[in-house]
Amino acid sequence: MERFLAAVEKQAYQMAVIAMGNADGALDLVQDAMLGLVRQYASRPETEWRPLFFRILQSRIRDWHRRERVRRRWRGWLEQWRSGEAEEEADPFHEVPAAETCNPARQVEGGAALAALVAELKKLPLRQQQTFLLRAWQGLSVEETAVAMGCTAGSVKTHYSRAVHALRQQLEGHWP
Amino acid sequence: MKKDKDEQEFLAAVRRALDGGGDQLDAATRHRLARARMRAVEEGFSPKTSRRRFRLLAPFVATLAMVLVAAALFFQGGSGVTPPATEMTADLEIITAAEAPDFYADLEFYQWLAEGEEHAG
Repeated sequence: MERFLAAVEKQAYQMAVIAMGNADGALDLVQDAMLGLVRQYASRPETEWRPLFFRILQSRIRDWHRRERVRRRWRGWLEQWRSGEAEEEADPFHEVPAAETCNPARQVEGGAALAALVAELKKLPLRQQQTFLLRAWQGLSVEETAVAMGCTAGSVKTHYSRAVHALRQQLEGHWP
Repeated sequence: MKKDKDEQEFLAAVRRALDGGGDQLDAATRHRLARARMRAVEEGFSPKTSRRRFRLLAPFVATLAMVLVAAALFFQGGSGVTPPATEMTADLEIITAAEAPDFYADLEFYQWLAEGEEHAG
């Protein structure tokens, strides 16, 4: 089990950083996913670990996004309540991530081509982004990706095809 | 045909770049990942005392959170900022749920997994 986790941890971390834009949060999330796999599925055949691990990771990423949305909404209400300026629109600068959370991808990004790829991946909708990474990078089959993403095989094909199309269109200058 | 070949080349370049990104992770991050892995293996195979303790505390934490939110809304007074009731209920469920939100969406998956185990065993 430890050998398997050592083989996937860096990739899982990169996927979480791309999805969350937050290096510390990504580390916690990967640890949580590893813990989930050990606790729930250590007794399953080794061939199943990869799709199960990525399923747990995807589930944690989705939960994180849901909670972030809720937190942002509550923060907005509380700030309005505190300032008593209910009529005012929410300050758009509050939606901009803090400086340190803007840059975690620095650790992931190396050359200019990788930087461009990561930037374009971050622009994709979360499902397209993660489907693309699971299929193109992790080499999961359509069915395994569907299990990992908790959706149908048809959805996986659609998300993947849209992601490939969008990335190729945007990265023409940097890539073959 | 050429289109397929172009796409394969593109995907191979993506894989190379992302693999390279993993190799470029700094020593501190690699060390923290290794520590996280060891902790996960250690905790994962140990008895679940802390989880059990959390499960016992969860109802009290949930009740306390609801009381605090109700108090905040009560004292909000005339500021005019009232979150929609349905959104609040959904938010409270997410914030206070002992189960992860995806658990409910994943019930079919757990059913599938259980069926697999039945067939295997």
